[in-house]
Amino acid sequence: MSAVARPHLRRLPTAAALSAVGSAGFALAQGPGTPAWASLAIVGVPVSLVGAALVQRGRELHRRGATHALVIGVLAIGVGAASWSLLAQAGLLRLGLALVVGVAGAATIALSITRIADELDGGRTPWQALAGGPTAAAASRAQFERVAPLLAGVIAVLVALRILAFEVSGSVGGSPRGALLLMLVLLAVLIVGPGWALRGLINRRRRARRAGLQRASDDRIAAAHLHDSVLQTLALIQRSADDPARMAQLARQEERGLREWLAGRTNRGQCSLAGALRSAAAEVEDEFPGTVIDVLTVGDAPLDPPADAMCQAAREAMRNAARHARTRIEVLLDVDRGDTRLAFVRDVGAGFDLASVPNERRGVRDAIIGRMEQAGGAAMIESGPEGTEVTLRFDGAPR
Amino acid sequence: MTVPSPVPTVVIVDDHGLFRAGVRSELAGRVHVVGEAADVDAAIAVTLKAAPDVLLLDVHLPGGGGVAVLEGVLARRPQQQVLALTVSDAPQDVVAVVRAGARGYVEKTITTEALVDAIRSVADGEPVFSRRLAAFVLEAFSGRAPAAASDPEVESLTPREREVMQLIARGHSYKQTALRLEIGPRTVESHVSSVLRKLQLSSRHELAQWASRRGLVD
Repeated sequence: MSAVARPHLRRLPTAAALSAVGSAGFALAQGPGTPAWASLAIVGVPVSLVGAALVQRGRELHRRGATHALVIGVLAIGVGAASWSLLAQAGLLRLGLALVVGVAGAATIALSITRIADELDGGRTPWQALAGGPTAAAASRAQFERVAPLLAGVIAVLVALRILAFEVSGSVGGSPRGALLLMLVLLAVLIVGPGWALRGLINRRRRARRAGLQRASDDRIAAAHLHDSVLQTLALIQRSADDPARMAQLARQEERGLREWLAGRTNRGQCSLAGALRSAAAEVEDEFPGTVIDVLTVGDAPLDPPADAMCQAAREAMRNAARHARTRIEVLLDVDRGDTRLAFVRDVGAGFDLASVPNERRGVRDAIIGRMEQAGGAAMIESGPEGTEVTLRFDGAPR
Repeated sequence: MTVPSPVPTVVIVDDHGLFRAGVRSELAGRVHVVGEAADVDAAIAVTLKAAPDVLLLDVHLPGGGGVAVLEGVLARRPQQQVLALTVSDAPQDVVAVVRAGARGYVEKTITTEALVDAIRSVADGEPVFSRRLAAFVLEAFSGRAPAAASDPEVESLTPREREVMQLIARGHSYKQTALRLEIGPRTVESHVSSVLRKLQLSSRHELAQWASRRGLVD
């Protein structure tokens, strides 16, 4: 079940933190002898907001963990209610309030840290590279949303500690020893909660940095090979200066290699449908020098037997186009989340009338349509004065 | 919208002198080249002065790239139509330039005929969607709306828009696409425009997911 987070739910940690701070302030101002309903509100509001924020966070982290998150949320609210009823006697109410506020603050700090960790991790930096950065207003709003809960959490914790310290000093009567105990509990929560989140963040960054260094070194090696290859080809081209067809073919081969490297595809080889299709296109280009086959892929799929059949059929279609059409050939692989796999091979040649294809060329049609149908898919060949397009199709999820 | 002259005027911005000269001679007689520039500052100055129908802009320009030129020009001449030109087919270049306001993007391997057509289309304010851009769009908007989508309407393609994008990615022209889908060519253009708008508005989450997916795949 996909969770679509509505915008106001994203504000939960901020709201929880701010209400915790508000509660703390109110508690400070009120002092002992607060009416019961006010105390319930002061305790209930931050606790339930923290609970809701945890539920929301749970849903974001584990799509199917809604039940876990719900349990945590109910626990949080339950703990809050229990603490309140246990400490409802006058003197201990302030202690209870302080503890709850402190815990809410600690939880908010932990949530904020994991939030910030997520933002610094996967996805945001490539985005900024793609779009040249967010607008100034969005950037400062994002900054605020990142820092505000953290700050509010810290303030809540400090205020809670201050109240507890106040109680420990015994100046209000009540139970100094109880206050000391609660302070220790709060400090323990602080170490466990935000401390654990912080540790997670540090580990993640360390791992990311190591992966980045590895990737950089792999890139350098690949680049060195590539430079070598390009230099060799350029030398060959200069030597073939009186053979334009060969020059064009060499140039096209090297262009393909360079584009593959730029797109980061050098080490992939043939383990996926997209990779196999590109390899097939390269082979056909080499078999018919002067042909240019432009392959684009949207999505990808594993190279299971049906996908292999599709690749072979596509290869036949490409060879056919290269042999007869002598124009640019355009190939598209469209895999929509693995449900339907479609491949299109198109050329803008003179076209042909399928019905009047002579017998000796029937083999080509069988190689395409027959192969696809045998593998459980379908093929369609459309040809006219504006060109020919072969559509290969598999419905249903792979495997 | 200004009425374009029968022979469209262009300013060519590219840091490769040989390429500029080549394009100039290719376009001779069919498109009027009213200015050239090789870097960001010159590009902005020449474009604002010459006020061409179309700005032919290389994506990779030293000193800030095509995006810097786009921002500089559109700030003072918001009606300027821009056709981005590039030798690379890297997604980040394409998307960045389209989001910055380019009306279309073509590769440098394009034929003269197709380049003239593209210039004319952009001069008329119609977006030019190359195969590659259509394929990028399909991939960027693939799958369901993401969990944190704040506006699913903007962050996914309608089925019809997806059909149009797929046909363009297959290499069909707008006219052929219209015939296949049995709709008018104007309808195709409006679908393409709406996709362009979505590309310019789509959320960071969507594109970030797409980018990191590409990173994982690579």
